[in-house]
Amino acid sequence: MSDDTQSRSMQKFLRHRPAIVSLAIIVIYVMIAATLLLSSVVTIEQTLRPVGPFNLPGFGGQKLPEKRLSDIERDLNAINTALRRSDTQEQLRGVRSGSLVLGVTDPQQLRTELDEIQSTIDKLYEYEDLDLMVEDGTGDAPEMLEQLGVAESRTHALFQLPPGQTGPGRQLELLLGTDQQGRSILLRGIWSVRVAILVGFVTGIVSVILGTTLGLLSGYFGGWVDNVITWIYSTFASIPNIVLLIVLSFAFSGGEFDDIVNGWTGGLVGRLVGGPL
Amino acid sequence: MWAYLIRRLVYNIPVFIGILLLVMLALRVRDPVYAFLGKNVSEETIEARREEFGLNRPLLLARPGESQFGRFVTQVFTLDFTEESWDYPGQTVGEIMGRCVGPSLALSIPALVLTTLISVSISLFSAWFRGRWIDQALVISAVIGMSISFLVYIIFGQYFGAFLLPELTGHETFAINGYVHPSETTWSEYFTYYWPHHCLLPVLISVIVGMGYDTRFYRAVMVEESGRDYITTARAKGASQLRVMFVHMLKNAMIPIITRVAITIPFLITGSFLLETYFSIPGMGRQLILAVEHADFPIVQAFTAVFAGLYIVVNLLTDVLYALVDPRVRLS
Repeated sequence: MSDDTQSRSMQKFLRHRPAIVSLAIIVIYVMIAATLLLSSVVTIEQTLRPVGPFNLPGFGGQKLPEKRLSDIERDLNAINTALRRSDTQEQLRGVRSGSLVLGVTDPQQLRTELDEIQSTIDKLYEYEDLDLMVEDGTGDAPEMLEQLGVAESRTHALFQLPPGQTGPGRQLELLLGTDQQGRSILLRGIWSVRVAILVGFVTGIVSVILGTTLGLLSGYFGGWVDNVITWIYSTFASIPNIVLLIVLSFAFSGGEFDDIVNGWTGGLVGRLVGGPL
Repeated sequence: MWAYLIRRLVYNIPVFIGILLLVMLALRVRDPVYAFLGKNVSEETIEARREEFGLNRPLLLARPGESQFGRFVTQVFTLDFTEESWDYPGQTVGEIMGRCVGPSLALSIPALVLTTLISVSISLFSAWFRGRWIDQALVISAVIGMSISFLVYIIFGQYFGAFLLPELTGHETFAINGYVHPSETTWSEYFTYYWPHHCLLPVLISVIVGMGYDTRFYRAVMVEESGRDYITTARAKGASQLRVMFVHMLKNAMIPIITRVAITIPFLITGSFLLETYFSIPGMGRQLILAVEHADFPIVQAFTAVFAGLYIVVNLLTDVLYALVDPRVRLS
């Protein structure tokens, strides 16, 4: 391509406003990703650590009544299990609701409190479908919601934040809510950008290097080298990507190989992929 | 023509054998028997199963028909899928495959046909109004459509189609699970009720996802074709605008369209992996994923071989179709 045509296509590109805007968006995106990749804004430990109550909805939203009920039940069950064990005090210290720990540790007080909450939610369980009732606003919906609120706040009153989990960053951590174990979805989302970019870059670079090398070899030597390389290439190209992925995940998950790869990379692959596939 | 076809076929045989070898080796990285039976099984049971499926034979180097590789290649080329599945005792791989083909095709064929028809129509429309606002609006919506992830379409489709719509209208519209096989009901009922109930929503999602990419591509093709000399000639001869578009242009645009459709076919299998999993449609893709989860070795091995075989056959057919559509392609 001569300089003349090159500069002309450049001018044409610069005149095309949507193209410029798109380029700017891509550049911003890549810059954000690169910042995340190079700096340690979010560490893997942060994404694995519970930061608040579990199943917290994002943007200060509200869970559906059925969900609230089952989450109360989950907290009560955890305390009940601890109370039934012989080393009650020891077990009670281990009870968690996301990152929250028990604030009340007197077994007697806990038992009476638990019984009262349980009787309230037992009544709520008699309704067929709480979500539908609230939506339709029929019958005892307002009264029912009030009881649910009481049970919820009494359960929450049993728990308290562990020391060190307060501060300015906290609102941000809880912005998108938490998952089943009380881990911050925002932090995990940011971390996932890193993973996505890393995978993209690595595959891109490796495939360019491999492809160029094989292509050069094939072109320079010709003959049987060319034939073998073409054969290998056609073989890989003739398997649908997703099928190749599935076969490889069958081959390399949960076996010795998994351990070896994780050993080499210091568990990086396991962390990236998130446990067995 | 036939000589060309046979030559291509012969060229693809070593490729297919390479794929079979690759699949076999990949599936033996981790001991398949051990993966399925787990750690709490006696050595004898593991040995017995190895013996039963020939996994204790030499992999490659043995007399023909004795090695695992020889047996597998023979099985695939004679379409002998009578090995028993591990996860479903008493059922052969062939039976399971036969059961899964129907649901997969019920999803992928309508999706492919609809996507192509709609995209080609829209792109013709867009090329007709090239440069005007309606063309720009179509292009922008195509770009927006293809910028959204497949998973987002699935989640929103399920929410609106299978939750909100029935809630608002009070009618049972789309289902997200519980596929009913035609053999469990009559064909007329299947087509009038069960198919739309279970498969229409995934098909629509598939069409919407595919439409963005396809429309943009076909529009570019149409725009390029409309600037060619033969169009000018046709106009000069006095052909009507409609005739120029639908007879002269569409016919010549068939070459890229066919390529595109053929390229999309393997992606339909890919797409249906997701759709089949999310809509619990018991097709080939979902079955393969389940088999991987349960370490059902015979199914994984046979299914991957069949997928690769299909892929090669599709590629071969594309080349033949080229020759039929484009007289410039010589078959020598």
